[in-house]
Amino acid sequence: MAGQENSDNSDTYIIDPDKLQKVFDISARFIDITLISSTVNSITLKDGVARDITSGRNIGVGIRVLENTWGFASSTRVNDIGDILDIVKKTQKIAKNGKRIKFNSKDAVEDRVRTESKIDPADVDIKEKMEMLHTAEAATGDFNEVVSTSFSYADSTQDIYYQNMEGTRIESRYNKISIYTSVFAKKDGRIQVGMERLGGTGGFEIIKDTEELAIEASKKAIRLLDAGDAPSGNFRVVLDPKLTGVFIHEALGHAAEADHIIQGESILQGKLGEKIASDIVTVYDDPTLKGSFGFYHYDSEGIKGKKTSIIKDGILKTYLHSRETSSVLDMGGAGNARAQGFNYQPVVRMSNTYLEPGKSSFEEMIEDIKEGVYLRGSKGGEVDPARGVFQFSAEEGFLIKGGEIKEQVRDVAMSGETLRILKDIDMVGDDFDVHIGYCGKASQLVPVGDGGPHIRTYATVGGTG
Amino acid sequence: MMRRKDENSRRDANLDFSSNQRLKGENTRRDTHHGFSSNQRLKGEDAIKLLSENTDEAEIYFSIHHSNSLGIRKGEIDVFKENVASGYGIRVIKDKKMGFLYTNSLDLDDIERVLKIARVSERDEFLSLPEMDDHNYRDSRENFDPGIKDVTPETALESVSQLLESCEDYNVNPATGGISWSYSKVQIWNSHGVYGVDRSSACMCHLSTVKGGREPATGFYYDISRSFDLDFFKIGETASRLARDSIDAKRIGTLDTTLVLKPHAVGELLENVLIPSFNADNVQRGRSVLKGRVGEKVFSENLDIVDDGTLKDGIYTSKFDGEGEKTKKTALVDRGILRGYLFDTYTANKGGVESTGNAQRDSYSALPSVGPSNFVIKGKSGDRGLETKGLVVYGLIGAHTANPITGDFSVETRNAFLNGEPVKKAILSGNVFELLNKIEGFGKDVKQVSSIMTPSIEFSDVRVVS
Repeated sequence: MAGQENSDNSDTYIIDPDKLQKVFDISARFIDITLISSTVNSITLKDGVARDITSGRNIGVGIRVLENTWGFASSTRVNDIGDILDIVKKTQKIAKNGKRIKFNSKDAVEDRVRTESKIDPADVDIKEKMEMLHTAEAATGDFNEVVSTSFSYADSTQDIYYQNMEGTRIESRYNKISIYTSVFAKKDGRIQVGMERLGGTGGFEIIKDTEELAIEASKKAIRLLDAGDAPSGNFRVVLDPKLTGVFIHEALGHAAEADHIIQGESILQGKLGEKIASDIVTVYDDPTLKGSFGFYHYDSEGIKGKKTSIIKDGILKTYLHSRETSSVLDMGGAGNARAQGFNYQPVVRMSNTYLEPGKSSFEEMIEDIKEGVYLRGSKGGEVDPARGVFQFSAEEGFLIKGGEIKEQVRDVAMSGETLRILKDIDMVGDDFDVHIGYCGKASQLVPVGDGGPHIRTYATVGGTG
Repeated sequence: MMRRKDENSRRDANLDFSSNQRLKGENTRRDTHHGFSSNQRLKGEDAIKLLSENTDEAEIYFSIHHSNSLGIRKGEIDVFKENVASGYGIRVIKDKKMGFLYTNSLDLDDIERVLKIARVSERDEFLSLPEMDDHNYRDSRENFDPGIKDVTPETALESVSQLLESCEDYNVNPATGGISWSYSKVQIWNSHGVYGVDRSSACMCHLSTVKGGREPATGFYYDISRSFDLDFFKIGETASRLARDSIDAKRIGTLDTTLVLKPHAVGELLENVLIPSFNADNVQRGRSVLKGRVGEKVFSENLDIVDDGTLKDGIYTSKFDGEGEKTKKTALVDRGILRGYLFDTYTANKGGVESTGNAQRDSYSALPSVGPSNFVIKGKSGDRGLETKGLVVYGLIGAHTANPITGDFSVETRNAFLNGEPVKKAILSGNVFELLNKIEGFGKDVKQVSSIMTPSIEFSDVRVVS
């Protein structure tokens, strides 16, 4: 594989996987190496000026060695093999301490994969990318309240070479692309922001409808200027697909990560096969979702990514696993170990997590709500999986009164207890959408997709009113 | 895909470098260095000379970071890590147009690429780099304890034992935690003659605990220092005690109460919500509610805030900021009155003022931008019994989702106690700017939490929904 010629693949790297074979001369229980070379190009328009244009490349290697426990070494000095071997041996020595971690062997896999992209961002002239951002930005000019805008475009190419002592060798190439925008509006001394983003795994074809994105961000900021204080208390709530995605990611997904189970930090411990949600709830984690932000062929341990059903018809079916957690819990299903980069140890992570659509229309969901809140758009969330308590904030809220959407409220957050709120889901919408985001855990950020349809449940709403 | 570097045929992902533009000064270097091929490594001082001859202004930032850590899972060592990362960030300005590039190793190629970026980027008359002479850093403080280089994993293993010592007494599960220690060196060169070297060190320790039961309770605590001198036992003891004391928590309904935020909670809340309002870039772009209010009383009269990059033992103390400007002490709020904002060179040019030395650069791969150093919150020191009355909150969940512009927040609490009794689930709602007008007092327990250095703060009349 290494050294193979490919005319449309003209990048060369200052990495020599052959040199790194010396690492496998070390006698250890298990060793794997991950070499990553990534390039990122970005353009940021601040208030209409493309002042910040950047380009960068990072190359590095991460090496795991297992004895009783893990040693992990990483370096950007990829050609200094002597130094790398020294660090690996040092981590190996310390890894001989501690309680023996269970880790089952796997069959070797050899593969070479790459992201399908219709339009390689490298073939698009930088002027065209700048023009695309300027056109989007110009669309905000129609709104008098808009005082400041930022538009950021980024494309990245990541080449990953994975090899372990069992003989697995995998070369992967991923192209990711994204646009983030924030539009600030002002009125009578009040300032609000509207944010939108789009992106995925693939090429420049993912970038489309950017003017609509700019207009939506502008309208959102302006709507918020006149929004009132949100109420506080326990309400019937309807969540839009963005919030359903964040909710299912925060409230359920993290608690289903098997490392949390093993650490005694999850309310889902001992609940496999139990009914933890209402019958109409089915939740998947799926890294194979084409074009998605959380897409991968193989995870950071060289295990093929696959669709996992976490909840099926309300029953907890499985946890998400790395090789270690599936060994420790004696369950199948590795393939969710992910690392932010070569300098991070892979940990159990979600990919694209979504709730399967149901049968209800939006109208059916709100028509019998006497007093409730419709929450739309996500500002992020956080969970304490051991207690099953989560919080997330909506970008926009609308009061529901007598079965109708009424006035808008701002800065509304929702919190709840995972096990209670999953059972309180009484309607699942017939629509579906997945949105891009980054998830933080163990000080690592990885790209993810979160999604689902509109859903209806009960929650504690905290507003400023 | 991952091939040997046989020849330099790396294609740029974005820009066309097919033009045979010859760099000024390149021939000279070729002569002196015998075969200066385009993929040959450059040193910072050589590169800045080469850039100076081809641009109006140029800057090279180099950093190398060594870090070690021991990870704990369920009371057992789980991993020992050692990481080394280094790289360069190159910034050039020509005709008031900027280019930026980062790389792990500096090649002649990179110089050509960054010049090309500057050519296509758009003009901004306020772009410039600091002009200083290198004696400026003579009296500046380094945030570095060389002793951290001598810390061995064996030493840290003993510290882990201290950290976990009290977990058994409190009968809690030390679910996850760790100790990390690191040191870094930063070098900066610019075409105006700025050259600086700065070193820093840090030691961090955290522990998350779970107290089992019908409804489990969790505890979390961490501390940070520039030396390997943390009180590991106390960190473990605090995390354990918080979990134990939080068991059998009760709902409290909706009420308006006196609120005491412990330093970690203050830090979590204000990091995202207050600091951006002092950023001159946000102020100049109409994104800050503090715009045009210098000289006005905006907060309680017993509140002082300074940003101090020179602070002894401050975690973010350094000799110079991310673009080589000497760090300073800047008064932001004085007895509740707004005194100023945080500036880097660009925003200072735009505002017609001096930079406050607040160009922040987390890594060689990032463009510098305005940010705090040590953001110090002070006030009349408390002799009041902050621990006993009202709602005392140690940490927050979801503080990053608060509104950074308006200051509105609605966050869930972790380890919250009402008159000493644990609270099950409570959303705190309000507005940061209003909250900082309701300060009743300060504790004596000053802690640095990321950039914020603060004691506990007591506020009156805050809405809680449980």
